[in-house]
Amino acid sequence: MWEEGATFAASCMAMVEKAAPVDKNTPLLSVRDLLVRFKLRDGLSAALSRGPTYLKAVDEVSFDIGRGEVLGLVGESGSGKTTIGKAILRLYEPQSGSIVVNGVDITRMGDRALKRYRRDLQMVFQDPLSSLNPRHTVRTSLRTPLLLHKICPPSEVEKRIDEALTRSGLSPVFKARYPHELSGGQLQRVAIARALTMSPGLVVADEPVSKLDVSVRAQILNLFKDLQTKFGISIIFITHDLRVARYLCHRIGVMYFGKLVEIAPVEELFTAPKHPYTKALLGTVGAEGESLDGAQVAGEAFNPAADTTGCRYYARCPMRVDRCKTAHPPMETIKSGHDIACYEWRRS
Amino acid sequence: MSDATLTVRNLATGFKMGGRVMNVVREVNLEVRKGEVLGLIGESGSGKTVTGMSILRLLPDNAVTEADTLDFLGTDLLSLSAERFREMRGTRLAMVFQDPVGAFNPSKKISWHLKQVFERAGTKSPEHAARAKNWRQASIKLLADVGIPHGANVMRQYPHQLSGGMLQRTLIALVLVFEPDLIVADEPTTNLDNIVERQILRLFRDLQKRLDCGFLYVTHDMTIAAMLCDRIAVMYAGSIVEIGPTKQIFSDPKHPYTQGLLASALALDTKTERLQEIPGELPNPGNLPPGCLFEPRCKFAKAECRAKPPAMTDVGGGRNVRCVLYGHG
Amino acid sequence: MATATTFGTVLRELRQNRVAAVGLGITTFVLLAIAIGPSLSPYDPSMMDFTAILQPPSWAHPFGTNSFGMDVLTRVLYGARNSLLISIVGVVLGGGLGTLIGMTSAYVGRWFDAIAMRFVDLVFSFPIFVLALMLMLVLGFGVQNVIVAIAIVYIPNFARLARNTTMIVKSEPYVQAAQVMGQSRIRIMVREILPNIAAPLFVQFTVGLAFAIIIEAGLSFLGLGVQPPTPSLGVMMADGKDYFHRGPWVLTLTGLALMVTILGLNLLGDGLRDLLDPRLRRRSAA
Repeated sequence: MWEEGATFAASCMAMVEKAAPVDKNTPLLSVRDLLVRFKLRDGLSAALSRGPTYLKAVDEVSFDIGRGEVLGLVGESGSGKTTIGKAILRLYEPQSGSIVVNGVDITRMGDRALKRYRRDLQMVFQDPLSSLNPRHTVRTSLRTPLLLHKICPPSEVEKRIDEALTRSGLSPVFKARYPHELSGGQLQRVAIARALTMSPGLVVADEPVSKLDVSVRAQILNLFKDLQTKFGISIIFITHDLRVARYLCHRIGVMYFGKLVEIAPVEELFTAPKHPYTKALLGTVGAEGESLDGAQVAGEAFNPAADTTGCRYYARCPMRVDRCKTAHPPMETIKSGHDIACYEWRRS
Repeated sequence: MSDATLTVRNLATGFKMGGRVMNVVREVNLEVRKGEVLGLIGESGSGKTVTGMSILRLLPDNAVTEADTLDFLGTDLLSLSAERFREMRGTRLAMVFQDPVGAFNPSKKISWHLKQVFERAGTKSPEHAARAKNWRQASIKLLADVGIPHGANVMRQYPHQLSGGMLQRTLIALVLVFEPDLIVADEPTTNLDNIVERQILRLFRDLQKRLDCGFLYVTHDMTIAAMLCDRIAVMYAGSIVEIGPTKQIFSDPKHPYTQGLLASALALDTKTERLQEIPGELPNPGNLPPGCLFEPRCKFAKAECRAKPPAMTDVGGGRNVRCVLYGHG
Repeated sequence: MATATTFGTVLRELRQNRVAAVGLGITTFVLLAIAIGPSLSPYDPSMMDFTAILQPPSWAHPFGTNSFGMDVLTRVLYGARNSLLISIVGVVLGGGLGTLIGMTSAYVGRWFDAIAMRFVDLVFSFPIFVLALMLMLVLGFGVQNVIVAIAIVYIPNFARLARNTTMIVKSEPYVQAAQVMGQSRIRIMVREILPNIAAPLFVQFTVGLAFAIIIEAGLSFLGLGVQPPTPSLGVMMADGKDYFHRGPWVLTLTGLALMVTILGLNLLGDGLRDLLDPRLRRRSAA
């Protein structure tokens, strides 16, 4: 058991050495002013409509993630958290801003140049069944990255696949199976094994437990926790569930309609949240959330297809003032590691 | 019990597939009392939705439902003709689903939907008929009741112009026209964001208190159940494994599955170092274990658990558990 | 999902679908006949026997003989083999090119998609047989050009189908996973997408083959394709039409053979299409 850990650790070491010229203190990943937008209307309807032509799915978001750090991105559906994750992996093309990995800007890199950075950035998807090719056996799915990046000599491929599966808590007999023959929990283990075969520095996990049965969730969350501590991987953990984020993450960023509104170390966020939206979210979970009484958030959500200016949380915010209507507040640091986008946070 | 709105005894539902019947729900016993919220809790595949749909007779044609008793306020739902059942469903027996969008005709305004329901209600009693004449005012009042203050504006809109939360509120308003005796809701907040979910749950609780009706709430979410339900029934692989008052079940779960579920779900509410896991996976409905369905995953499993399925045991305090740890009932 | 259906499940369900099973039976029979039949025949397809001109069907000549005394059954078997080979090569060529264009269109998009799809629309606007006829006049007569004409006629069908199915498959997380892994676009198209759109393309191939045989026969019938004395179903029907009154069996039995072949392929294609149609599948699954 420890032997396979050792080989894996050795390959991790090799990777750290590969990135040796980079200062240990620079963040693994730096995202600056990232803007990703999707077209809402085309041609004539764009000319005739009064609303904006584009939907800003991610609107000038900046954050860093350190080595071995788990950053939670929390928000509701439509908050842009998944889009950020996919933009970092260049599955969506950002409109502007930069994504810097180990000091190298990969934002505008072409496919070929990008390939050597791909190893370092991996993803675990929400729906484990559709993240594995239905025509490929588990073996084929795991073999592809090993051969593609020449991670080990071809003679060792089988051994590596067995190791990867064992590490994820699966028996090597699963190699010969097809995705539809596995349960959701088993599939997600395979997907995690696949991401880790490349010894990535950063894994983007997009709601990896939300499609799993409740009784299987804990298994997968614990697997993430174990693998993260064992190999010191950085993880961007995307979830709508603050409680899950609290369990796994060191820091949490809260998103609301494309904007990052607050980012703080996990316990600080839970004990001393500053942004009114974070407070509202926390009111819906945790020990105080056990009853339906207490302050309630009124008002409708922001409409990203109609509104363009002002704070996204304006309509629901109990602390809103006039200037919140005209401009979205910029991110400001209120304490080391605790940033917030709110004009009125001092009042809270 | 006399105050039972809905009594279900020994309900079993299966689906005909290629000549044989695949049983997905068996031995379900429950009652929803007047003025009470009963939560039906389970994971996907536990049979909670099928149970709700069986009661409402909303399953596809290849479903077979059997029960010793299926009584709704003295009416035997099993022997009711399809026509009579349809009449009852949506009037005294209301339902709210996961996806409010599907419940509306996309080409008609909200006012049209309200008018339809009021007109239908108008044929029931003179009191309803009076309201049906004044359906506009009644609608605005009703929308205000479900937390939509500018009802007149909303009535002029089409379903796609409303947000998910507003649609779900409107749907609840439609249900309320009849002041039903029993509401069955199946994961009605799943597609809504956290904050709106909280608003809708509160709305449900307030309305249920005011109408003093029975409420069967189907969900997979333990936290929602804890907030909303007076009693809960925990389902696993097609059977109820534990039923009782919410507070007692949460503070002292008896069935090993309930214990595992609560440990893995609620431990997240506080800072936790390590989550407790339930090992293994849900059994395949085509290949169920011979004895207790939870036995393969249970840390207390012993030989007798494999022999035959355990019966429900009354453990006092209105609680029943299907587990050999608590006697043999 | 239609695109994720394996050939294994299709074959299993094929046996339960009566239409498809009959189609599969006929097609297998035809393929066996043209594969083994010629070697069993005592006659040479081009052997003239002026002692047995225009003989009606008999035990010696089950399909009779033609005006040169050639055995019609032997010629039908060889002719069907030629017709089928020409059609298969044509459809494979057109299908391959069309699939390539369609997949590239969907996966690369932008200007390539715009140009390719306008071309497809243009070709689609002609009736297929008229287009094939025009191509033959431009390209000149002969077997090779029949193949080219069939290929060109079939490019749009396959391009459309490949484009639509690729569009669906390319947004699947497993394709994104391959991208994240660093697989090249070509590799993703071949290894990740193609296997998942192969089943509907295969159906299109089966149905297309049936009509390609008609095109070949039509062109050869008009004297634009296969040239006599080389047998092909079209050539033989053209020949048989000239002395239909004296020897009706030549045209009739050759036509019958053509009809059976096409019927088999069409039934098989329809059956396969039913099996792969997501709407029909969902109904049987519910």
